Order: sequence, then structure tokens, then C-alpha cells
Amino acid sequence: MITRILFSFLATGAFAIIFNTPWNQLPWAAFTGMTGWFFYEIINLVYGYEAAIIISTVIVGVMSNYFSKKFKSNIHPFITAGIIPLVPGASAFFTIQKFIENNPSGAFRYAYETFVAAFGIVIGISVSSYISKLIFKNTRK
Amino acid sequence: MHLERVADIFIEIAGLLFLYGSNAGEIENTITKLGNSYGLEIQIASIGTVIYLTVIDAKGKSITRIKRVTVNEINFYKLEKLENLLEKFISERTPLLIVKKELIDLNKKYMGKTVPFFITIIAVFVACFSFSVVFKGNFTDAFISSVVGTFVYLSTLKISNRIFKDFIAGFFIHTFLEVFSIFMKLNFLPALAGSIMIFVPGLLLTNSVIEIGERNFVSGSSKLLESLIILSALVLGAGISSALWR
Repeated sequence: MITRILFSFLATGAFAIIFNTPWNQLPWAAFTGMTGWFFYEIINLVYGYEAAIIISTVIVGVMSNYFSKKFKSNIHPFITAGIIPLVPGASAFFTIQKFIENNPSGAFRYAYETFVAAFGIVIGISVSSYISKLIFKNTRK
Repeated sequence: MHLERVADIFIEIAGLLFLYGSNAGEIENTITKLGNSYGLEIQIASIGTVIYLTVIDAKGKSITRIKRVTVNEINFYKLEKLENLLEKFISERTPLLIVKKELIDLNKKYMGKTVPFFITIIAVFVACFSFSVVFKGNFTDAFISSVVGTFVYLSTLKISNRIFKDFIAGFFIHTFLEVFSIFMKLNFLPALAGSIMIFVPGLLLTNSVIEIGERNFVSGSSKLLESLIILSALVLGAGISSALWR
């Protein structure tokens, strides 16, 4: 698990480079992604997939708001890199693949994961936006 | 300055904000603040890829501009520089002639200030490798994933249609991984997940959610739909390859 969490730092950092994130914000964008993934792994073990997606997205959102305030910059460099690991690209693919293999029960399992992740991110970002407004009343963005 | 020229400058700024990755709410807020600081009333809507702007002066004279932004160059570095400059304009009420000049200077100064191409390629390689490990792959899976991901990224670089690009990317990623799996033992899920992550429309999805949260329903839902279509294109490309390999 520790290896995966460390590599999530590299993964989100590399993504931040692809998006031309300013160099001084790069480690913090990667740190946001790593923290989000850390909470995803921990909460997934204890409370399951659904809670893990929503809570880790909320944490990524609040951290992104904090860093955007700290650097007096836009929230995007942090939140975009931070939620990337949670976006359900692979599970969406396996939904289609299981349908092609005529395995509806497998397809529904992956479809459920995809649905939960996609809308979990939607709910998580909305909640984090509200929480951040309460916490950081003087945030520029 | 003539109202027509003012509207031209404001729509140009709105277009640049959109181009570099701002969402609808941010574009609308920034342009409204900018206009208000010059004593102008602003009505602006950024919907999908179109920006509608009306500038109204103190005498009630109004002028409308519409701009369609079809390209999207995500560049947070340029976005930050532009936003800092706009904050300065708003606080100092810089004369609009100078605003125009400073915008041109900014564009010239930071035109080449993007990450060098070879660093982007290394970043793509590292992203694919790392995501493959994050999704429980071993280092062999991660290496194959990063080779395939980087190769497909380079191959599809010149395709401008995002949906077609992601469809082709999904198809090639799955096909190449199937070819590799003939010669070596490969955990397919982490290898595939690592490669496809760089094509996932993360910013579009984030912006769509933020816009829906700000009650920009038309813009937000159109972006959400676009991100879901792009994701579906990626998945269907890989799905068709999967069907051919069965």
C-alpha cells in the first residue's frame, strides 16, 4: 500500500507537468493527489468503495482550495491533478469488455463502480466547494 | 476609448481565460469585475465553447460580442500569469490602451513558456508507469504500460478531434497490450489502466462539476456530457479491440 501511495505522488506530479502547472506549485499538486489516494486506500479498507471515493474527493477539494489560497492562484492545478486517480477510466472499460464477453453480472459490477466513482466525484467536489467556502472565507477564487 | 474597442479587449481576455483552462464561473466573474472597475456594466455568459458578452456604458449604450473558442490549450502557467495581470488591471484601473498593450506583451513573453516537449514525454512515461503501480500492477506491467501509453500519446498527438483521438488511443492501447501479452505474462487491468489514464478528460470533468455546482447548468452539463462522450470513445475504442481479439 505504501508503494502505491508513493507512486500516486509521482503519477499526479507527472500529470501536473503535462498540464503546465507552475513549478513552485508542482510538488503541492502531487501532494494533493497522494493525500487523496492515501485516504481512498484507507477508507476503502474500512468503509468500502462508495465512501472512499466521496470522502477522498472532498479531501482533495478542500486541500486544493487551501493551496490555491496559499499560492494566490487558481484551484485547477491542484484539483485536476488530485482527482485524476479517482476518475473511473479503467472500470468504464471493463464494463464494456464484460458486456462484449456476454458476462452481464460482471458488467453490472463494473458499471456500478463506474457510476459510483463518476457521481461520487461530482458529489465530493460540490461538498468540498461548500466546506471550503465555510473554512476559507477570504479565498481569492 | 470606443465601446467597440473595449468590448473587443474584454472578449479577447475572456477567450484567453477559456483557452488556458478557466471554467465558466471564473471567466464571468473576472470579466464582470474588470468591466465594473472601469464603470461599465457587463452581461456575460460562457456556455460550452461560446462566450457571449455585452458591455453597457454609463449612458446606456451597449455593444455585444460573441466568441467561439474551439481549441483548448490547458496551460496553468499562462493562466496564472494572465490572472495576476488582470488582478493588477482591476486594482489599478489601468488605462485600456495599456491593457491591450500589456496583453500583447504577456502573450509574446510567455508564448514559448510551456514545458519542453521531451519533458512532457518523460512526464507521460512516468504517469503511465506510476498509475499502473497505483492500480496494483508489478514493475513489468508498469513498464509495458508506460511504453504503450507513451507510444500511443505520440502517435495521436496530431489528431485534433478529441473524440476520434480518444477512440483511436483506446483501440491502439488495448491492441498493443494484447500483442505484448502474447510474449509475456501481463496483468491486463493495471497495464491498461496505467496507459489510458493520460487520455482521461480530468479537467473537463472537474470544470463541468464546478460549473453545475455554481448553477451554470447549461455550460456544466454540456461539458459533463462532452467528458462522458470522450471517456466512452476511449472505452469503446479499447472495447472494439477487445472484441476483435476474442
